Amino acid sequence: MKPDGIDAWAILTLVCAAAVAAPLIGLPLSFAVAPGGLSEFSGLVPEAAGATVVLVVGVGAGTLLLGTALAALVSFCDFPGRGWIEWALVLPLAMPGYVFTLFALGLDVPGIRSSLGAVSVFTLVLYPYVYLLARAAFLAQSRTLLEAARGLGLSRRAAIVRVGLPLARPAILGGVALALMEALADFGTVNLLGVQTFTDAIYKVWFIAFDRDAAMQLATLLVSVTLALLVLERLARGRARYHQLAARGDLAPPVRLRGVAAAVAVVAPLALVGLVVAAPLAQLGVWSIESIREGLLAPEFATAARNSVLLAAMSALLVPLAAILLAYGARASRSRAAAGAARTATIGYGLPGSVVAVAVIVPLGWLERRIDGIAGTGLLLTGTVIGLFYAYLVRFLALAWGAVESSLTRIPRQLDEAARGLGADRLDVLARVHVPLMRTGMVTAALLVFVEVMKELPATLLLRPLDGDTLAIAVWQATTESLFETASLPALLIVLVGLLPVAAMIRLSGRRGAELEAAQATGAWAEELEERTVVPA
Amino acid sequence: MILIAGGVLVVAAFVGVVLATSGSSDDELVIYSARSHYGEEQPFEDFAKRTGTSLRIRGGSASELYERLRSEGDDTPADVLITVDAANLWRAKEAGLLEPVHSPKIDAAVPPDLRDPDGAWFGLLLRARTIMRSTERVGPREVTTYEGLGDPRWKGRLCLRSGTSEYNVSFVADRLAKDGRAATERMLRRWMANDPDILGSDTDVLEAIADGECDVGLTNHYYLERELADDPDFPVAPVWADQQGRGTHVNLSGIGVVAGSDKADEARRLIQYFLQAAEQRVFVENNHEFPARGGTDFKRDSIDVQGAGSHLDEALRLMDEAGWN
Amino acid sequence: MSDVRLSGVSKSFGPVQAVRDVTLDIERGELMAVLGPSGCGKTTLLRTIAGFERPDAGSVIVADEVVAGPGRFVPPERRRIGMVFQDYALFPHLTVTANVGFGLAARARDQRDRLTRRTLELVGLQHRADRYPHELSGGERQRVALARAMAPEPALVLLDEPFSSLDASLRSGLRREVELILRDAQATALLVTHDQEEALSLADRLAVMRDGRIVQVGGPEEVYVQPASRWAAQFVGDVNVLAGVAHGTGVETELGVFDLRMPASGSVHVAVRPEQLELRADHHGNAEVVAREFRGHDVLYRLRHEAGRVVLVQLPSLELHEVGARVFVRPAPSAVTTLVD
Repeated sequence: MKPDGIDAWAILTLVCAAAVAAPLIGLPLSFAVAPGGLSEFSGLVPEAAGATVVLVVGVGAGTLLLGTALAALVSFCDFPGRGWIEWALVLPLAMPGYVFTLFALGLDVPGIRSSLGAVSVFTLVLYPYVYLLARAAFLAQSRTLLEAARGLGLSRRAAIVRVGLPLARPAILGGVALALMEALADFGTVNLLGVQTFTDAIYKVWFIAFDRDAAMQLATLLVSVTLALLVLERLARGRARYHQLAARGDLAPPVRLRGVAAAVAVVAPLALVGLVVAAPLAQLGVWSIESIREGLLAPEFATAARNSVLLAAMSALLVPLAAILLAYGARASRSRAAAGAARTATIGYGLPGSVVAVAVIVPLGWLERRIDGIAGTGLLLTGTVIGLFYAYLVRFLALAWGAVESSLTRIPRQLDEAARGLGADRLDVLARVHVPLMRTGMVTAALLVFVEVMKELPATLLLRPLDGDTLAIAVWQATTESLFETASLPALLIVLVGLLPVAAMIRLSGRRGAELEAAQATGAWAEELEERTVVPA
Repeated sequence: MILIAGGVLVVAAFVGVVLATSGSSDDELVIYSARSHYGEEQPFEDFAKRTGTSLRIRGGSASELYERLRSEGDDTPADVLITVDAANLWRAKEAGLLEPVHSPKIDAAVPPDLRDPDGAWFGLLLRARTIMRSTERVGPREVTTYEGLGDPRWKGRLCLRSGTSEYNVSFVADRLAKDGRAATERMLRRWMANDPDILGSDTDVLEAIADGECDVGLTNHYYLERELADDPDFPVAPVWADQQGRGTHVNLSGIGVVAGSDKADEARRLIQYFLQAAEQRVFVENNHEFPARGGTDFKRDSIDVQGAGSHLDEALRLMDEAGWN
Repeated sequence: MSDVRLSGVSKSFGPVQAVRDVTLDIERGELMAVLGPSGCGKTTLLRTIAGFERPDAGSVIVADEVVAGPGRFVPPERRRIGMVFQDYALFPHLTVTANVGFGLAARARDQRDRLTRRTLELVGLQHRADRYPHELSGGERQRVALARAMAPEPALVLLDEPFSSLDASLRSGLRREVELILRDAQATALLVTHDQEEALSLADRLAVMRDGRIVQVGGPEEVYVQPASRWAAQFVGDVNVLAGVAHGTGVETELGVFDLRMPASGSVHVAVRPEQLELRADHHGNAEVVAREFRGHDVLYRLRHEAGRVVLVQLPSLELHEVGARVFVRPAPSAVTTLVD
């Protein structure tokens, strides 16, 4: 009998994961290629390490506190306007860090050019990651658990703190991990603020000293930090099971806030969103109008806008598909190796776009020369957007993966088996059971990727073909020449277009969505069974 | 089945996007330019009108263009490379990305130290990086040398652009090549001892001087020209540094023909055109740099492209050690 | 519906042998129960028949077709087998109607509608057809799961501990209903459970399973009254295992003389069910009541016999004896016992 061990799915998953992770292998290889490279710049490393630590601790704590507090506020309390404040708090996702920094610099905020300034900017712009995930976790908690806590003598607040929060911990930590990866990979913000993180050191070494190998070595160090973060996050999650047996998916009734508390609950979030979204938009709007009036508009503006939207839309289709393929492969093959490989493929998110771009252009260039030699296709990969899509895939797979995988793992394997017992083959199961149940996850993945690609700069800069300028590039080009008015209109467009998917995402993860997910949790203890089916019943 | 139909649609859309975003460049002259993107269209438009050749310009930073050219190899669509900063030109030549041009006419238009001896690149425009002073609070003779910015009287009154700016790095590299490590390090440490405000751009430095946050700074001169064009009463003036010494530090914006281009003749014509006195004037009017052809009316330091280029690494490290972020 | 033949089926997970050499026949239209404690391998056996596990040895034949055997394996989606999972595994995003019709996707629309409607009527849920699973009660969900498994007219229906997630008070009523549904459809069904009351009341035949092996197959009465081993006797119901001396058709034990089903002689052990003993109050009796379990219509007494052993006696609850009372226990008239090892 053929043993049911290695199977086609595992191999497929491993191959795909390898394809995505492959360019990143080039990074540690640089140590082999030019072993002494980094030592010339070793003076940069301690400073970069120090700044990175400050950033990790500061942004980690900041987003954790801000995101969790806000999520708890809107999940457990009721106050006038909660309905739309709830979604307004997600809007900062559409604001790229470098745009907000421009705004802050333009206003000459004192002390912003410092580590503290960078931590503040990142916290304000990245807290939505924690907020979204924590909120979803809170909403999916069953009333009975909190009531059980109350029955054991805890006050409402204590119940939330000692039961609600820990139960939401994996979601919260997941959000913090995402926020930290964004912060570490960012270049624009830290560069403008003069904070020398690893990405800043990489920029110096590569862009100015032109030493690609040393830059890749620094990038390898950066990846190690990211990996360490991911491992810590997994460890923190521990072996506990966090899925509640929400028998009926009841949601705990919220606490009504009155008087001062209600006022604060309304004003504080609004002020936050006003600061991070409305104010910069207004300023950009003013500058945009000035630029139009003074005729400082970039001529290829329309093309850039079209390209941005096309690239973002196509990526929003391709990257989630790849994530589904990987996630599904990992699930179907039941092999630990496949699941691990799939997760490794997401590491690209923790790298600065410029590093991904360099790591990608070398193998792509090699590959395209081979293909050209055979088929005479010229610059098939780097001369078209194909190479760019590949870079986006490497860079953003993590986002899509997170959304898709959490949806997929929430589908108990028993549903797969039930469907198969009823005559559905693997593809049928995917189409009729998984896709409908993962719809929210898939759409969230698509929207996240869309927003990110709209904002993406360094990989696009390097890999775009001749006609491939985007809005982000237009912003960058104008900014490097201090032409703020010219930069403002494309920047404004990036933020506005980014707001649409963010708003859509919010709709999706609204209360109805949470109810449906809670309903899915009805069968959640099938997961317990799943653990046990490996051992005979 | 739905899945197959969906798959076909996705593939079709993908191909569509790829085609829509990939322009072809068969009959155009393609220019990879690290120069400023805006406000510079004039000379290019003039050339296009004159010769009927359409131009395609790809912007980007020097290192990105450099990486692309290396990756593209002979298949590159690029015909012309324009960069700012002499060191970039040196790198490009070292990497074999430029094709030598042998044209006595072009050689004659540009002074020898502003072009590559082998004809790989030619200087287009010059930019001076010099001392800027507040007209309201600082007299014209209070500081006249770069070292002078390190004088303790400027403590708390000095503004500098960030250490990652390639202009600053080039400047330091140039000093290293000409003055050696000890002298350059001394100068930098004295600058840093004055506790300078480190700002994000040259424009920020100028505005800080104008606003009174500091009194002296170091910037490229054409940024000041831009401010003055907006506001003739802008209270900052340049001090051409080291006039008694070697002369003010200048950097070069250069142009070369890309190796592997199939339109070398057109490219040569473009270079020649840009180096014509008339066009140089157009450039200068637009962005206030100095023409390579005409030079400056103050004493300028010579340009040692090789020296500056080969000292970039050391410059970076030195600036980092000195604390110039 | 068809018959099912298992022959020498074995399945291991690493070092653990879940199913050992199981041979079992299920007749067409029969409701067979596999009864055994947790971990005995019964669910693995079920999943092997369904196709979710691949046997290491042996063969599974359904309706004269080998679905699993040397060199042959039919995947679950191509076996015509309906399965009801322990937690029902209803598709949360589909209505009751869509759930029930899920396995009928390949059929023509009108046939699908007809079968769905008929099956819903069979389980009595036609008025809940447009609800979603999370809007149903536990018993309703179970019936949907059953309907879904049966709608495609499978050769065999498998049930994995289908009543374990229900309230005890609902259980017996639902058991009745499920049995009726299966009989109405003349279904061949295999039900796996650890609840012997369930197995005894529902099944046409039982297979008792222990540590991966089938230790006894037979009708409920047979398994109960003539257990094949001491373990089987102890697992299926309460029992007193007594040592005694057999003389032909009678056996002498410390509690008295019992009739033997099969003649024997010499030292033996017999299985005596609690209802095969009677007692009466007696100050000079041979036992004392140590504990009493009141079960509604009957009572189970736990006695300490003067010879030292614990004796279980079941009596109707008409007459109650207190804990601590002295009683006299003896065999009930015409109690026929079976030899066990």
